[in-house]
Amino acid sequence: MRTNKTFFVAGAVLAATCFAVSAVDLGPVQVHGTLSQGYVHSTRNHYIEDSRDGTFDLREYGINGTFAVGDNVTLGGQVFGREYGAVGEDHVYLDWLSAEYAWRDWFVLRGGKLKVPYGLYGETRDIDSLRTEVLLPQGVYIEYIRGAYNSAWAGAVSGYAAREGLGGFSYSLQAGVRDMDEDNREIERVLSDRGMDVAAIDEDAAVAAALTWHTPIEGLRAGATWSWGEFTVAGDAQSLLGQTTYDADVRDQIMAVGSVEYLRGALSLVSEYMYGTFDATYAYAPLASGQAVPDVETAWDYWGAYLKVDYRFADWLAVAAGYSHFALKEMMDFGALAAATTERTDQRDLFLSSRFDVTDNLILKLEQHFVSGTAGIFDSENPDGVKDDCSMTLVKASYVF
Amino acid sequence: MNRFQRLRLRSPLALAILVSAAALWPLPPLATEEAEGVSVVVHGATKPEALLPDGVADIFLGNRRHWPDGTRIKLALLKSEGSQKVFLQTATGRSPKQFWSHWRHIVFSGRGLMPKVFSTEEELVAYVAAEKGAVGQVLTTNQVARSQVSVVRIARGDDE
Repeated sequence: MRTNKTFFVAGAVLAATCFAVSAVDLGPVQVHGTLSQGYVHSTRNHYIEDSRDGTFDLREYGINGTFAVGDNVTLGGQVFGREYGAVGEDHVYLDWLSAEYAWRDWFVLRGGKLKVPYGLYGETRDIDSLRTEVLLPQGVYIEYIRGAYNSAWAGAVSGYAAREGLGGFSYSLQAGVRDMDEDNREIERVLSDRGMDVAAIDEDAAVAAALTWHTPIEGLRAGATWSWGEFTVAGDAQSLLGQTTYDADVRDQIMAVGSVEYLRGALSLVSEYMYGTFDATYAYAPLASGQAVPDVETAWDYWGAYLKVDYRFADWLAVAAGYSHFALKEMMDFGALAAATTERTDQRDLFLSSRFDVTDNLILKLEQHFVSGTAGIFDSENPDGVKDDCSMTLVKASYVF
Repeated sequence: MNRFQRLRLRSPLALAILVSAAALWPLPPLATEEAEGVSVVVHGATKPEALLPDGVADIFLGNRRHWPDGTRIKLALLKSEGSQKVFLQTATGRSPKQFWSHWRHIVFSGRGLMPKVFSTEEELVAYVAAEKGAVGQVLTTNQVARSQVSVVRIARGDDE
């Protein structure tokens, strides 16, 4: 089944290339889209599901339309689908849908399903053609918890203002309810190592904020994003005492990112730092025997950072190199069953990427990672054990119009 | 010491070398036309002074999306790679690759509409003349002789 999907999507990429699709401009309506297909091969560990054997389960595809109504109103929406190992499942979903009223540049109201601001590139992390590398640095753009902060049904106020000598400032404040899709299996992948599956996700309130300073130094910008949210997850679980069901209450999920980017000619330097935290309570139903299962309290905090150098040698060639570090600390309290324990794990990733712009719309990429540490690598996908380090090669073709 | 331990120890040094090499790599010279500046054409209803004080960079990068009177800004560029490169480097400090990548970030996050691209200057000027709020690049100011538009000369780092 998956093989068939792979060939279908690969064929679609080829077809799009052959027909050289261009952006569609229907008067006030603009239509843009992207289609990408990759191949991943890793050593020692399955970095994503089946990657040690080589897998084509790495792709994204989406199409959007934007419609301007008069001077102040803009309407738009995007549908998207993706596959990232076991995540995504080629489940096509509404990625964003927005109605915007721009009163002034410094005061813009938006409503709908909005992307949650996260770092400099979080809102467009799925669009492969916008960067040199295939994978955004995993120290900050952690793929395996992406679904928890990707989008929200929300209202937002945003804007931009500039002052001579100070540069420009753009801001965004957003409040609503996160939209977490259980069908794409992102949360289930995270919980799979605990013997849990996901039957339902119920999102509570969430807020987010972003501030970017476009400094007076040409090409230099600095920014910060912050988000807070809560949600619950329910499903079947293998507890310490036996098979049962669970309700997980995730509270105070906070993710903050600080960013600096400098563009000078063909050179780009970027560094970002992320800090995140949340608490969760796993409440288990009694076993079939009637025996009660005590709750498990967990507290997570994690940080990540990366530095990336990107240089465009020619219109057809760009190269990027970077170093990314992610560190995770989890404190667990099993109540009467066990004393509190602390586990610490991290992932260090040295990567080298090359991007070949065959045309303005067609991009090929070749990327190598040297990964040390086990964060983000799952026991459930590595039944013969997770090794301390691995390397990974990615090849990807993208078409954007 | 295994391969990855060696790699980890060497990675900060390797990164430092990469950063240094990239920073020292001779950057491509800016186009010679840059020193002479480039020009934009704006719809006749837009006062040329409206390009001040925030500058054309903010306008062409989509930071400013409205003229002071509230009219939506509509951007127009020429398809020609050479002229587009000179214009964008002068007006925004970005290469065409960087410029279009920046706009794709905006479009794919639902924050705006992409600038329109025209094959000829005549088509572009006709569009600017017809669309209130439009502004576009022009090469040959002496050929822009339409009463419905104004031409403004700009230079790098100069908003006038």
